[in-house]
Amino acid sequence: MRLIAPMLALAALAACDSGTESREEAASTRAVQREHTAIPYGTASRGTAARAAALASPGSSATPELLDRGRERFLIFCSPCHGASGRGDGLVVSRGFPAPPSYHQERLRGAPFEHIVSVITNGTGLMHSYADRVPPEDRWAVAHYVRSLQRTEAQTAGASE
Amino acid sequence: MAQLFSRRATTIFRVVLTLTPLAAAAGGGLTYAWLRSDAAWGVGKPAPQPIPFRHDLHAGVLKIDCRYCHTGAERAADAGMPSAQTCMTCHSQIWAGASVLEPLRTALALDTPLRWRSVSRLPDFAYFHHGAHVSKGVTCATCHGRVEEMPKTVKARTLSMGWCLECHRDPGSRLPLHTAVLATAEKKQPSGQAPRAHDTSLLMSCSTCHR
Repeated sequence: MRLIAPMLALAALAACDSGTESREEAASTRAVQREHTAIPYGTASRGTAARAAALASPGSSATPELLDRGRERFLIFCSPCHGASGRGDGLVVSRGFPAPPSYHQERLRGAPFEHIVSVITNGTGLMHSYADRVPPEDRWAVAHYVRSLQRTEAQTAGASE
Repeated sequence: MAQLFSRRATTIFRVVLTLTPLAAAAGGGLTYAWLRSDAAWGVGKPAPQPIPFRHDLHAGVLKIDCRYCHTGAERAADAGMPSAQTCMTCHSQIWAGASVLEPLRTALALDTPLRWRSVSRLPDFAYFHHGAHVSKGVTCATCHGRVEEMPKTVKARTLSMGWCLECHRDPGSRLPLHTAVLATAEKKQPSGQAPRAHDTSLLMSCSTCHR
């Protein structure tokens, strides 16, 4: 008789959740992605001024290192759609993405560097903004590389005529 | 009074006496082998993902660079997972109505993250910096294997401490600098020079990785 109370307590405990049931099966797949939190009104995030300065015209001047950097960034972020030569024939286009305009048309050949940087920053048409992926200094590097692509293309076109 | 032990008792006792340590040794050996096997570390085991993303298609067929989506790989501790915006760069047009992409559209509409599950997550007591490794010439494939051939993303190496140390002991001979997938690492070195002399004592120091 004296055992009934402890037995009942044990039975009640048996239904308790140990917290282990809901855990992920594979311990190596813990998700640590942080929620996006908007910047509070009236404040600026660290590095805002530096980013703005890096984005300001006329940007960095074209050095071989900058062009190398631009080429590398171009191949990562732009070539999937624009193609390695800038003709708008990237592999993603072959899968059904509407082809972007070629860099080698008259309108874009005459476009200032600022236009290219602004398109990377804000996007245009179907192109999304790349501001979250390409930092300001790299945008100038890409712009310089795009310009060098246009020049090379114009030269080869001129030579073949 | 009858005999307590039968005639066979001595034999049984001897057999048990011999077999018990043998069984213990075999059990220990099996445990050791299991703990060091790939399966115990989850190698080759895919994680449940919100969308059946295929690296073999995106990185393999379409040849999209790793860094297009994992933008932090060169400069941050975390290589990072792509935001819904990043996916939408293409998927606003391609497969725009596909039902498998519903979690993506939901994430975008509700401004919530798309929770991709990493298969290569290290435990909290290990400090790892992607940028430090990539800038020294460690390629993505060194640790993640040939991701561009994986229909389902799986862990390719154990990523155990022993595995890390294999390279930390003698990084020079192991870094495949010349076949680097990421050309960055090579370019950062002055031409014709070997990568910065690795201070092996620092690489083998406990507090380098356990801070």
